[in-house]
Amino acid sequence: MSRPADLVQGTLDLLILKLLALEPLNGWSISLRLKQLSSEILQVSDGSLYPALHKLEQEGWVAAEWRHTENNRRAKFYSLTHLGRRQLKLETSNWERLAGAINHVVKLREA
Amino acid sequence: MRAEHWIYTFPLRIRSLFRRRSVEQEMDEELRFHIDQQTEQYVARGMIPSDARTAVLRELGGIERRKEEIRETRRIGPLENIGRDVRYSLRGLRRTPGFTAIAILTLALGIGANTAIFTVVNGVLLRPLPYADPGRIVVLPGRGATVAPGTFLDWQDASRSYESMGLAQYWTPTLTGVGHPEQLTALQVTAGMFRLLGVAPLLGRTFLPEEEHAGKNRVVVLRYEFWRDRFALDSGVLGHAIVLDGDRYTIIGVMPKGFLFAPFWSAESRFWVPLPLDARRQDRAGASMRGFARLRPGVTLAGARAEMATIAARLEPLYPGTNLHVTIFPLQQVVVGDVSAALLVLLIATTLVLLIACANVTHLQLMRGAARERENAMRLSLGATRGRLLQQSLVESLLLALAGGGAGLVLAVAGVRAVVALAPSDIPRIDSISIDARVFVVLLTVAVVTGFVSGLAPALSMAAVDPHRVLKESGRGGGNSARRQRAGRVLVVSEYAMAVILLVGAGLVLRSFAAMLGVDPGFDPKGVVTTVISTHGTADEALPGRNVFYSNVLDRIAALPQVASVGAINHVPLHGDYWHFTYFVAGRPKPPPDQRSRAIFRVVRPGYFATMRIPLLRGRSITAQDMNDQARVVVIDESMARASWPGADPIGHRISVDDPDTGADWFTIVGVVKDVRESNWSGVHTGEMYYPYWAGNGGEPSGSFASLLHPNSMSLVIRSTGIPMVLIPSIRRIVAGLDPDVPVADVITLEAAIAEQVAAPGFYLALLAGFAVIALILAVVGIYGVVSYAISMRTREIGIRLALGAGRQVPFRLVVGQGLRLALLGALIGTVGALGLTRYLRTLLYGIGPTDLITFAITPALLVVVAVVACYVPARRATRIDPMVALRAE
Repeated sequence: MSRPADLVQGTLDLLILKLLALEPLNGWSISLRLKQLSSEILQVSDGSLYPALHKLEQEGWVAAEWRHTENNRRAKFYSLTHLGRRQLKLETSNWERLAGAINHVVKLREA
Repeated sequence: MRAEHWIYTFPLRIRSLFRRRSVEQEMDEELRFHIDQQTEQYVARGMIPSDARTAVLRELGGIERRKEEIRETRRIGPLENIGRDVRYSLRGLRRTPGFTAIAILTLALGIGANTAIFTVVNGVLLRPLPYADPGRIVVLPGRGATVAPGTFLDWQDASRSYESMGLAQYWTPTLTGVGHPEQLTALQVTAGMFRLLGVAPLLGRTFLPEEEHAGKNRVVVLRYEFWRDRFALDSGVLGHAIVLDGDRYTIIGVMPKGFLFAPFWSAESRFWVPLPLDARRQDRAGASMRGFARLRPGVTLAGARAEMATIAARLEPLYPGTNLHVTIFPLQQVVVGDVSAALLVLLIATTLVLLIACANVTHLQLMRGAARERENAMRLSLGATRGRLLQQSLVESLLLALAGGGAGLVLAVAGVRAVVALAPSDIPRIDSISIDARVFVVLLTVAVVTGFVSGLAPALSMAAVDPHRVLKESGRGGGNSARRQRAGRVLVVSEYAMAVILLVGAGLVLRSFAAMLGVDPGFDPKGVVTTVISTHGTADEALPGRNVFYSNVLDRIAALPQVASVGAINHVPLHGDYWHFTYFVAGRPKPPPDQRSRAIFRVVRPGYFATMRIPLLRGRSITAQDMNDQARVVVIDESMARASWPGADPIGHRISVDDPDTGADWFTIVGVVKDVRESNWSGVHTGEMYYPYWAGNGGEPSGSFASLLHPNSMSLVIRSTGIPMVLIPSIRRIVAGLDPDVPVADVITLEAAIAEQVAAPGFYLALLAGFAVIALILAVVGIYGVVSYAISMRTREIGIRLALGAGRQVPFRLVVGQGLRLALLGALIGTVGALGLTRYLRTLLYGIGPTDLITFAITPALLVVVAVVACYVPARRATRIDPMVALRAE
C-alpha cells in the first residue's frame, strides 16, 4: 500500500460522529483526539478534517456553536444533533458489516 | 426524514447565501484557532515558533485550498448558480442592447396589453359586488325586468327560498333649495333592501319597516360620494333635511365609501328613500319596480327557480298576464351582462398578441443562440454541463420576460387609464377598477410563464450544441442552422395564423360598426337638442296649469332666434325611458296572455314629428286640437301597423291598452309614421304608439291610463338652425322665468345621444383594432427576421447561383417565394382558427354574421400582401449579393 495513513473512504465521518457522540468538541480537539485514540495509526490529515466537519454541519448531523475554551479562547464547538445520532447508528452498522466481511475474507485459511 | 433534514439545514443554506461575509469570518477564525493551538503544542514540545507554524500549515496542506473545500460544502448548487447566471446574462444582454431592447419591448407590448385587459376583467367581472355574500343575491322576475308590486308581494307570500326580499324603483326627483334646481337620480327602496344587501351605514342608520308607509317615508340615506360632494364629509349632517320634489327629507344615514346600488339602471343612485307600497299592494299591472332577493343558506339557484316556476304557474290563472316569463338570475350575472362576452373577446385578443410576442422573442433568441454557438461549444468542452447551459439560457429568457413584465406594467397602467377614460358608461364599475394585488400576481405569473415559453426552445437548441462539430467547423452553416431555420419557419407560420385570427376579428367588428353607423335612426338628429323639463313637486304641476306651462315654455323657445321648430315627447328615443304596453284591437277576439301585441307608449305634443323630421306615411299627424277635444286619436309607426294590420290600412281602426272585458278606452288610429330607433341602436323594433298630450281641462276620462296622457315630465326637442347647444342658456332663462323651481335636466344633442349608443361597439372596435395592429406589426417583424436570417445563411448558395449565370431575379424570387409560402400557410391556418373563434364575437356584431364572407376573404389576402412587402427589403438585398465576395467569404 502506498499511503497507509489514508482512511478508508467515508470512515472519517464515522469517526467524527463517534467522537462527538461522547462530548462536544472543537476542531482542534477532534484532530488531537483522533490522533491519540487511534494511537497515531490513523493519520487524519488536518486538511481534510475541516471540510469534513463543515459537510457534516451542512447535512444537519452536527451543530456548531461558538464557546470559550478552558484557557478562555473563542472556538467553534461541534455537537451531535438528533439526525447525527441516527446517522452514527447507520454508519456504525455499515462499518460493522464491512469490517466483518473483510475480516471473514482475510481469515480464510490458505489451502 | 427529509423534512427533518430540511429543518436543520435550511437555515444554514440561507445563512451561507445571504450572510456570506460572517460565514467567511467564522471560517477564518476557526482555522486560526486550530493553527494557534497546534503551534502552541509544538512549541511546548520544543520547536521554535516559526518552524512550528510552518509545520502546522504544512499539515493543513494549503490553507486557501482548504478554505475553498469548505466553501464547496456550503454551496447551494442551483441557487448559487442562478445568481451567477443572472450576472452572466445581464452582461450578455448589455452587450447586445439592440436585441435586448427589441425583446423587452415586444414582451412589454404583449404583457402590457394582457395586464391592462385583465385589470378591467378583474375590476368588472371578477371582483365581487360590494355587498355581503353577493353570490346569494338574485334578481327576479328576469334579467332586470320590471315587476308590479302586487305580483312581487304575491311571490313574497308564497316563496320559501329567500332570507329576505326587496323592491326598488328608479326615481328622478328635483332637488331644490340649493342653487338652481337640479334633477338627480335616486332609488326608492323597501325597508328591507339594505338588510338584504348586508351593508351597514357609515353614519346613522338605514330604513325602519314603519318608514315604508306613506307619511313616515320622508327620510333619506346618502351615498358617500353625494355626502362628500354636497356636504364636504360633514358628520353633523344627520338630522338635516334636503328638499326633493318639494318635500323635506331628513338625512338619517350615509353609506360607506365604495357602496353603490343601482344595478342595471342607467345612472348611479345618489341617495335612497323608502318606497311606500300602501296604495299599490294590489297593483299587479304597473310593472315599474325591480325585485331582489337573498337566497336562504342551502338554497340553490336551481331550487329557487323551480319554486318560482311552481308559484308562477299557480298565480298566472288568478292574475292573467302577470306571471309570464318569470325567471331568477344571480345579481352579478345581470350586472355584468353582455360586457362579459366583450371582455372575453378582448382577453382572447390580448392572449394572441402575447403569444405572437412570445414567438417573436423565441425566434430572436434562436438567432442569438446561433451567434453564440461557438461560445457555448467552448463552454461545453471546458466542462460545463448541458444542464448548466440550459439553465443559463432559461435564466436569460426569464430576465427578459421580467423586464418585459416591468415595462408591460407601465404600459398597463397607462392602458388602464386610457380604457377607463374612453370606456362606454355601460361597463359596470369601470370607474373603480385599478391594478390590485391579484392583477400583480397574474402579471408576474404571465411574465414567468412567458419567459419559460419563449425561452424553452432556444435553451434546448443551445444545450444541444455539438462542440466537436462547431469547433471543427470554422464557419457557419450545418445541421443546427437548418434546424433553427425550421423552427423559425414554424414560429412565423403560427404568428401569422394568430395575426390572421386577430385581424379577422377586428375586421368583423369594423364591418359591424360600419353597418351600425349606417343605420337610419328614422329621424334627423342633426341640429336637435333635447332636455327633460319636470314640473314634479312645483307650483305648475297641477292640472290644467301643467299643460299651460309646457305650452308657454315651448312657445317662448320657438320664438328664439335660431330655433327652427320645437316639440315634446314623454321619453325621447334612444336617450329616454321606454314603456312597453300591451294593446288590443277593437273588434278582434282577445288573444291569450302570451300572444298579445306590445308597443312602446309615447305621449307627444304637436310639432314633435315635424321637429324630429319623422316622415308621416299615412293619414295625419297630431294637432293642437287633439290635446283639447275628446277625439281620442293615436298615431302608430309602420312596425306596429305591419304587425297588427299586415297588408291593410290601419287608419280608422281602434286600439286600447285596457282590457276590453273591463271597459276599454278606445283610441282611433289617424296616422302612420316611419319607424325610428326606439331605445337601443342595434336592438329589435317592437313598434310605437304616439298619443297626443291631453290638456287635462276636464274633457278626458279619469283613470290610470288617462293620467299617463299628461305626464308631469316631458322631453323637449328643439331644432336649431345653428349650433344647438348654444340655445341652452336661453332655454334655462325661459324656464326659470316661468317657474324657478323647474329644472332643465339631461341636456344632450340627439347626435350625442346616438354617439353614446355606438360608443360601446366603437370602444371595443378601437381596442380590437389596436391589438390587431400590434399583432400585425409583430408578425411582420417576425417574417422579416426569418427571411433575413435565411438569406444570411444562403449567401453562399445565392453567390454560386449568380456565379453560374442565374439572373438577378432568381434570388429575389427565392426569397419572396419563401416568405409568401410561409404567409400563405399562416393565413390558411389562421382562417380556419378564426372560423372556430369568431363565434365568441357574436354578441358584439351587428348586421353581419361571425363568418362574414367579405371579412374572411379580404383579411387573409391583405396579410399575404403585407408579408410580401415585408420580404421585399431582404429580397432586394439578396439581389445585390456580389458572387465573388460571397464565395470568398467562407
